[in-house]
Amino acid sequence: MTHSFIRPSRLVLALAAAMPGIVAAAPTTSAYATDAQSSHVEDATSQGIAQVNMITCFVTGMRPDAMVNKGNYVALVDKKKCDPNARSDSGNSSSDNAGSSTPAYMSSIVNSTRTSNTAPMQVKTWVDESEKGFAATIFINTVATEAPSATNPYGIFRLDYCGKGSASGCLMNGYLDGSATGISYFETESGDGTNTTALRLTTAGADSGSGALQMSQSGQQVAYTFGYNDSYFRRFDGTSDQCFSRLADDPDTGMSVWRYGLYDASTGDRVTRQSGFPIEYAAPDGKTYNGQIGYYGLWLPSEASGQITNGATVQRVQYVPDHEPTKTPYSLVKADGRLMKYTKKTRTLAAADQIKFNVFVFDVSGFFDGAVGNRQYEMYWDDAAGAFKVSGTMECGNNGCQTQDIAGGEKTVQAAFFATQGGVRGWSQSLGGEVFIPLAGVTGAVDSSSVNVIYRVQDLVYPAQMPASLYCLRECPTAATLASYFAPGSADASPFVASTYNRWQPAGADGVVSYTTDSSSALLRDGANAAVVFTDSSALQSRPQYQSGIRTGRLFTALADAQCSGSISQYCDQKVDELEVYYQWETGPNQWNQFAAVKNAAGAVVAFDAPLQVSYSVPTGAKYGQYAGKSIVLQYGGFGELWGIPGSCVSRLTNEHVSCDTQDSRYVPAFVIPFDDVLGRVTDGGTAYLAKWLDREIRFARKDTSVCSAAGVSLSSALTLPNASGLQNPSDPASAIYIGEKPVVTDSPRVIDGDVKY
Amino acid sequence: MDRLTLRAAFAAVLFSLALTACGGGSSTSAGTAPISSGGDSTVTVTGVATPNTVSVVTAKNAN
Repeated sequence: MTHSFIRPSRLVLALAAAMPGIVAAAPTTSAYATDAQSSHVEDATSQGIAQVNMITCFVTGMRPDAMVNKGNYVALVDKKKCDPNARSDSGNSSSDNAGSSTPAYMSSIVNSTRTSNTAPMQVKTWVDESEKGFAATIFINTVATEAPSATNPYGIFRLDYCGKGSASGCLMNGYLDGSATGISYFETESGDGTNTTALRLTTAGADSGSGALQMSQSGQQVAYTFGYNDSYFRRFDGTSDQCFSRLADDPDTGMSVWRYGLYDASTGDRVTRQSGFPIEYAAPDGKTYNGQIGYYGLWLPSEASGQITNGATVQRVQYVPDHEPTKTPYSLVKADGRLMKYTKKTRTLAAADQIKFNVFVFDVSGFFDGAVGNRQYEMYWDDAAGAFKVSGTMECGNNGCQTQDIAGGEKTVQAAFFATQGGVRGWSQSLGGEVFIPLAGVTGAVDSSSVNVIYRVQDLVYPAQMPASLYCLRECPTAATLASYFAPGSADASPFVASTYNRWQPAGADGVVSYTTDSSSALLRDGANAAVVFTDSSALQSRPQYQSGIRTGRLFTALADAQCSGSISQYCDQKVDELEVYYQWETGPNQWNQFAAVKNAAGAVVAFDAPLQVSYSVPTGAKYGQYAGKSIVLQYGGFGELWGIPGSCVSRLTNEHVSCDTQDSRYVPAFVIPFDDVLGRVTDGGTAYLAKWLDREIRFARKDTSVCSAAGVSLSSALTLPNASGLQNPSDPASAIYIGEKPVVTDSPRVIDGDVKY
Repeated sequence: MDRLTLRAAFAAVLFSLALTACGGGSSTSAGTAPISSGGDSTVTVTGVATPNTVSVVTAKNAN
């Protein structure tokens, strides 16, 4: 773990001197200059200590250091921000991670005390675990006497925890002990058999350390021994001896950032978005739950989300520094689907050089030898080659979708392949979402500077903005087709009206599916006036490609807009792709598949800010890979939430690039936006912002094992690992560290995601 | 819910927070939490930051 400090780059200083007024550095007292950055090393051993790291992350996010001696308080921490496995799951290599911005808070009661500045700080924490009918409490006792620092990266602390369900005893019991001489960690999960993890690291300053990690999980044994000196890190798992450079400036070192801040380029102030607000909900079960309503919908704990209905009253919680928060009643507007609006933007095909997108290819005749039809492919335009390149294929299963490299290397596909389909229809993270490249009639080489790539800004449609009627030519569901497709034993080919499934050919008037909208209930209705919704998650799981929900094809407001060029009695879907605006309806079991908003006392629906779409000119240089010198589109949903940087998969074991379907692969952003006044600048039209990385992982560069041997890096041989004798139970009244029963706190949360509210 | 299911559910909740996202990092800034008093003089007690993430080795030249 390391900390970075502010230093202006030489390039910025040179530019500032040469062009005063053009590149003005943000003030040194601004948030851009002072917001903390942190880095950590990601290694195969990280997997073994992922669970305790989630707990340390939760504890840190509750800010006990800032709430000393302030009594019991409620803290909310977004689970996703503490889950390294979920954020780097190789399934994230599939296209649309629409749900990624929906918060999912874990609620805790915290009590932090310290009698003096020389005494230890004690933090008692009761974390509520409730999900899908399971309820438990994690009791955590933390004692800390020294904060992490450059010379002692772990600080001095001990954390004991017990996860307790309805039965007596701990389902999970562990401790983490950190000091200047290293860390000790032991955890056991009891039940039918016992899973254990034991870690011991002994350090002697920053340049020497060794240790071991042993895991027994579901009958499988994994053991690592490791050691390091000032330059190299060596790790042995019993069969494979791996050597890595510890130097972050080694050209082969990998880095990825999981959180960025965005700042005003002149003032250095954080850029905030009105993307939602916290709410309280008094449920029929008599309990009051904390949640969030925002652009991405409603979030409530699972035991509350099943109770709330359209029209329910929720209280908006507004925080005022040093005062109790104010609460204002709002009425919930909830629907089992949502309508999204897509507004056109363009760039030339040449300007989309090397930018990857995913495209579904139904008929692979002429695509490339060995291609499999009815499958999604990862591709990009290679301007130097004057052709498209196919770099991967998407494999979907019960655990989601993963990108698999093309066997034998990338394949070349000429633009003319897409002519009969009217062009390329795909999805690109780096272009902000939906992509269409019109290529109808193309027969040979194309002039990439005269071919447009159409991509889309997407916005949530609020009820008052819903068009009265909408039309659909391709992938058009009705309530009846949804019910039929997901019925047990169904032989239907798709959840859509059969004639619209994979329809690439023109349709007559009788082939158009019409819808109406119902702004009072925020729903899309089919020709039978039935709501086009489907939320049965188990039925959706039975069709893996729809496990995250169902999305319609493009919907448009005027039938004449889709008239084919050569025949006004025929309607062509590629015409819809070229419209300034089209819509798509989605429905599913997730809160992010569904519309949720609130009405104020005057009956007006509160509209939240959509993510800010910004452009980033990727710097040149090898570390930016194929995106060097290209322009990509990023989305900013709020502080810490900047996404859209393309990713790739790396091995947990070697840190080297692997296909995403490889065992032990992780999906990580492919490059880091540098913390730099010039190279870290993004723009929204004429407005400039500065990006700053906040949380960064470092993956060591792999070296030949002989390098570690020559450097004398030895592995630990006689280390005693922690065991169950060191366990303590903070939930046990007989224990010296018993923290008591969970207190009742009725005040609104005082800390949300590390931000002290009052 | 039987014990095995309960344990599996517990592990699933912790291990399978099935959404993507961000996080990680090292530590928050050391907090300055005023409060606490003793007699006539007020003493400001400062909190102690705890590590956000631990790893078995650190990087060199990371800045």
